[in-house]
Amino acid sequence: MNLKAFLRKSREKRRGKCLYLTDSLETEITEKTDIILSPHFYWIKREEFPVKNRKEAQKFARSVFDSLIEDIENYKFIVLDSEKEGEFIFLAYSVTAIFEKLREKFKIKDDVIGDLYLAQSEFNEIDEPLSVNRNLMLVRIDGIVSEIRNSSQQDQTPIYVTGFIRKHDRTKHKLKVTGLNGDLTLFQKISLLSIPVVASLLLFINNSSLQDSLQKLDSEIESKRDIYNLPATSFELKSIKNRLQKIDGEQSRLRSDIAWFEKKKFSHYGEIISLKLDSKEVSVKFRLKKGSDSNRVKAIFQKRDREADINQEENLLIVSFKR
Amino acid sequence: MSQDRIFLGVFALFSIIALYLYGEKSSLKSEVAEKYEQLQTLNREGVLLKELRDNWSDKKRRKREISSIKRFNPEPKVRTKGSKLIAEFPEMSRKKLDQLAKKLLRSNLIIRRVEIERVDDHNAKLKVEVER
Repeated sequence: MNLKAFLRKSREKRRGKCLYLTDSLETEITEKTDIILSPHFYWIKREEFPVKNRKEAQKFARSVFDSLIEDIENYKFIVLDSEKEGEFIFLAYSVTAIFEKLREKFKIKDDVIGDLYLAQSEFNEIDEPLSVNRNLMLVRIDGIVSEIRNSSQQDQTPIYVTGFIRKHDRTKHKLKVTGLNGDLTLFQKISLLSIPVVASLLLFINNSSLQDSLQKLDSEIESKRDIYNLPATSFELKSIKNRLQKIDGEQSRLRSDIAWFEKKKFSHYGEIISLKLDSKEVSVKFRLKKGSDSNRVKAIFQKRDREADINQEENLLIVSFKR
Repeated sequence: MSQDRIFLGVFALFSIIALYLYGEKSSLKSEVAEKYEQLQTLNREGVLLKELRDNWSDKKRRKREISSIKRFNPEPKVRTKGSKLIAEFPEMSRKKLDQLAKKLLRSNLIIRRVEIERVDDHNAKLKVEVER
């Protein structure tokens, strides 16, 4: 295989499968195929417009077909340059109508329909007629691509449309089929699908790490229970804690009282006859040396407990305070 | 159309999965917060309980301290009443009284009752009730 043939073949492969589709053609499509639609599928009009270029002319495309098409809101438009300056070729097509026709008349399933093109845009440059089959050929007259019956006096070998399609690249005027019955393109579908998929994935990872944390916390809780020898229920824990805290409170009060009596020097004023201390009450019998010191001694006890109950019988002070 | 159905099915499926996982995440998050709080509480309570137990539930230590009271000079008369141990010192000097008081204050014995009665100018009678 020489280089030229190799390049041609690889170019054809890149173009993919493409078919010209017209009313009189019977075909069965089994794999994804690009389709060039015959003039039966669209409206065409040539108009002069005082605008600079195709892009500006595109703005007026709708108004060009306004009086011709009833359901114009379902139509999309393509504008091509004409050979004459200031003149444009306007094309109008309905994606819904095209797909309906492809499904019902040609029995073509949606999933085998590749990109769609219009004959006008793809054969806009032909100089010679192209044979579709024995009876039909494509011609360009005054810039408009049309189908006509094959003339009988053909003295030269015809160029077939299939051969032309194989040899030439498609134009950029691919039909915009987005929004057909609310359909989405593959890219849109993938983008849309990626949202819940990515969210699920991230949440799954997040939940796994949360599960790990939970397990670690559980084992840490168990180890703390072992270290501190804690009971299984919080009720038991509370009960043990309350009991020990009660003992702790009582003992610290009792010890503080013992320490107070040990440190306080009463010998200057008299002597303690008896002293009884428990967790509920402290009672003291104190014999004064001099009756005049009673107020001082009373003040010492009252300083220890404001609500101390103090009774005096001559030189004997009987003091008690609740704990 | 069948492709669209498959797409919608897959989209719905993943959306449901994402929603389910989101719900699970919320509950896991609150569970983790709860466990963390529980761990903090256990830590706090554990330290407190250990300290309280060391002070008031150490039976070996208590036994040691009781026998030290029993061996105190002058030797007390010891008897038990329920869970209590009662040590009576019929005659004790001021100095010995202070010694015993210090011993009791330093100990971790659970003191239930202390009674001191004057005998004469130099001696006193002492009765101590502690938990066994």
